[in-house]
Amino acid sequence: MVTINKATLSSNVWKNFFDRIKAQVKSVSTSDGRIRTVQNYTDSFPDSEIDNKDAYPIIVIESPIINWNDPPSMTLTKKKARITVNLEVYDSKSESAELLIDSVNNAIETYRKSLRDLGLRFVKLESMDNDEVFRGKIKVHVRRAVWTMEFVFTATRTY
Amino acid sequence: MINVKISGIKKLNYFENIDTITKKELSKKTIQFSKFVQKSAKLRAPRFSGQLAESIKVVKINDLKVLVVVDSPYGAAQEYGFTPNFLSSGMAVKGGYRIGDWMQAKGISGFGITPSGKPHPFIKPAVEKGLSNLPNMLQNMATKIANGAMK
Repeated sequence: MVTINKATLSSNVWKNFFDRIKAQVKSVSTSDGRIRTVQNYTDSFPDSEIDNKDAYPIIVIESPIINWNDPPSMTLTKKKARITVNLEVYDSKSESAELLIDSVNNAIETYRKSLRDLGLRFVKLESMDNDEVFRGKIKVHVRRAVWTMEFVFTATRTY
Repeated sequence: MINVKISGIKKLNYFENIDTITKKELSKKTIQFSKFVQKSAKLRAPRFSGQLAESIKVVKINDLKVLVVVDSPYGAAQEYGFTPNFLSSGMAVKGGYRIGDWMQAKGISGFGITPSGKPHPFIKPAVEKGLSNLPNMLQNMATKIANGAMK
């Protein structure tokens, strides 16, 4: 867990999500008794591995999208940053992709108290979607989850 | 163009900022949708060097207009297919290489190749997939607009 502040907002929000998912989501057991172990945790899809079946499952924790436009209510000295973090699971098996995105979401949901202690409020799962792509002999199953949250900080005073 | 005029009950004045919020949310969703299509197209793009996939970009023109651009000269040929011609192994290609170098890397022997010219659509399926997710995005946007307008 790394402290989050205005100066390190993007990097440390990403690091907290990355560390949490890497520590909590390691493998899943499918209905046929096989264990699928995550091969790669990264911040963007590794293009070179796209047709390599052994490179999957891959979990992508994207850099946060941060927006400072919304003013927080009841204060003139603070600013509110709206943060969106996209999490993606790529796998060559549909069932394990499903199980992995559930594990990812659970890892974040059960971490909400710690995230709140770091200053991240209203952490919630905004939406989920999926995609399936044929790549020659393999079919890549994609599961995406979009998490949103807020961070309030004291703004630098100007005149 | 739809014009909506609300008058009468004072409480309905809460909706006065609906225009600003709608524009803001629409802008966000436009980017979100375009990025979805971009990612999906990158996954679907045929690859040898990866340049085609790399060339798929999201370009923001303004808040409500975003383009998904395939900035590669052979993007359209891959999407729609092309008339195949014989390519001699000695023929030069971009970057100082020859067709023969590519054939060697692929383990193909001979004096040249005739590519299939078969289409490998990657943009159209990506847009179709994006459109199937669009109702969810729009519903989510409508909820945010309603919540934002009532604040």
